[in-house]
Amino acid sequence: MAKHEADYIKQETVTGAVPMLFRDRQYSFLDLFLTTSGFAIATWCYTQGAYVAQYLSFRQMLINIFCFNLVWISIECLPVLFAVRYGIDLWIWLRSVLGIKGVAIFATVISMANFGWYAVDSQLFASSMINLFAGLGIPLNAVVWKPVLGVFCVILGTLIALGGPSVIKWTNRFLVTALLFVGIVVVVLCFTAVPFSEINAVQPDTSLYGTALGRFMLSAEGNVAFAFSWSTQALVMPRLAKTERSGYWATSTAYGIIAPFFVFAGGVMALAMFVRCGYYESDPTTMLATLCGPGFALLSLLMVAFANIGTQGTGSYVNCMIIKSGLPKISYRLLVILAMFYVSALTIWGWVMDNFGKFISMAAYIQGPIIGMTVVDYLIVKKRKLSLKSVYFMKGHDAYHFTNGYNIVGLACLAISFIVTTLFVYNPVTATIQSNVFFVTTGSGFTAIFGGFLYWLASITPLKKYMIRDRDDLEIV
Amino acid sequence: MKNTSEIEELIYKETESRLNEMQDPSYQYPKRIGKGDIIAIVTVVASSLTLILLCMVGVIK
Repeated sequence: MAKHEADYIKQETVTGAVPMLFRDRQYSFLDLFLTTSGFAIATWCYTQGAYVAQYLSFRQMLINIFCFNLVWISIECLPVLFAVRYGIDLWIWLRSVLGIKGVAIFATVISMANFGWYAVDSQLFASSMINLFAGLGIPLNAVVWKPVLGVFCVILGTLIALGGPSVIKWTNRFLVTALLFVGIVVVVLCFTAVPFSEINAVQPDTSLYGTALGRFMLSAEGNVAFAFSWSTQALVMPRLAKTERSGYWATSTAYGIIAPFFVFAGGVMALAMFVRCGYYESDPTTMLATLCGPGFALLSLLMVAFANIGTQGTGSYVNCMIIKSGLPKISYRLLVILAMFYVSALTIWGWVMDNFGKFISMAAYIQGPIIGMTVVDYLIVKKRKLSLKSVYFMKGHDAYHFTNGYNIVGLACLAISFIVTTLFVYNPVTATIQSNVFFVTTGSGFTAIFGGFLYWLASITPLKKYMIRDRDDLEIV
Repeated sequence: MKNTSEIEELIYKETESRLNEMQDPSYQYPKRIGKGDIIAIVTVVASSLTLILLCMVGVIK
């Protein structure tokens, strides 16, 4: 094989849809944990924490943030096990649930939605840098510099993404260690800047909903949607892990503990800001500057700012991989460059940042049914066995061709879950509770439960013959 | 620069070769998770759900 062909294959293995063999795996538990945490510790965690802090008591906020995330992350990460075993990502498996063309459509739609997070990320980077310069005595005009610095963040993230997993691994080894340290210090400083008894005594804002349960579940809606936001991205990196155990625990602790910890830190800072200044603040840089004084604030601002660049890089890699699994013929580099222009445009537009709550719920309504169906398909319907030859469309293996590349049953389950939840449980666009079911499952949670239930129900009807045609084609298990 | 069909052919052959390797009985798969992991996952989910329930019914305010 010529050298350039070998290089191309290597690139397709680590940045493409070719299955990764055990001998090629690069990531230990620590590598995967740090890389995934680097992805998870984005400054939007602080935004999420500040949003929840307003409506709950301190103890309820703590439980709401950690417990809803832990429940859903523990469940949605179960398919990490197949990602590690076969060296493939979620979207390759989903070819057997949605069909190859169904995956192409949803991988693209979801990645386009996911990139909205990176517009938030780059805008927060811009705010951080503007605050940083202000702290250094150099005021910058936000109207001019916010879009410029935001796009600058996107470009730097693109350079990291172009470097692939090795560059991402080393970037995050440094960044995540520094940021974990900053996060812990920030929480400690907030508690010392404002006495814990005062933070604990803050009365929740009751304007959101008339009952305590309503406020608790509306806050939970945000946290469930937050947990779901990782789902379609979570199962890309584990294919690089060396054991199922390291893959599962590195991924679930990063998204289930580290990310919520930073949401919690955002909540604590927002409460501390309320005690100190009388208003809730969601910009971490403003909170740090107000609560912790100029010296530490400058250092923290710098680290928070660079965290956003690491997030951009990892996010660009992961989401371009998702699109590539649906559209394998497009080169990874081209996708990363296109993503750069798209995220830059979203950054300048600013809609996502201004409609953060609506945005995460709407994205979760597409991701929820996919989570439910994936878990049910993996554990119950296909019983952890997949026809790898069919999923890669090897000649003579067509178990997942379905109807011209669309699995009508899977797609119908997704559409029905989306519509039923919006009409009868919770409307994410208008933020309206449609029934009491919401107070048990939340809207996003219902999409996952109902999507999984419908898929299971279909699998015990005559539709089973349409859904599962691979049982005679399980040559690699 | 190779054209699209040549690249597709290259990827197809590489995928086929890798799948054949995985099909070989001597291929080493990553180590599976154990019972301890499953117990830990169930414990995490159950204890989280308990705390959520206590908040929902107003025991934890």
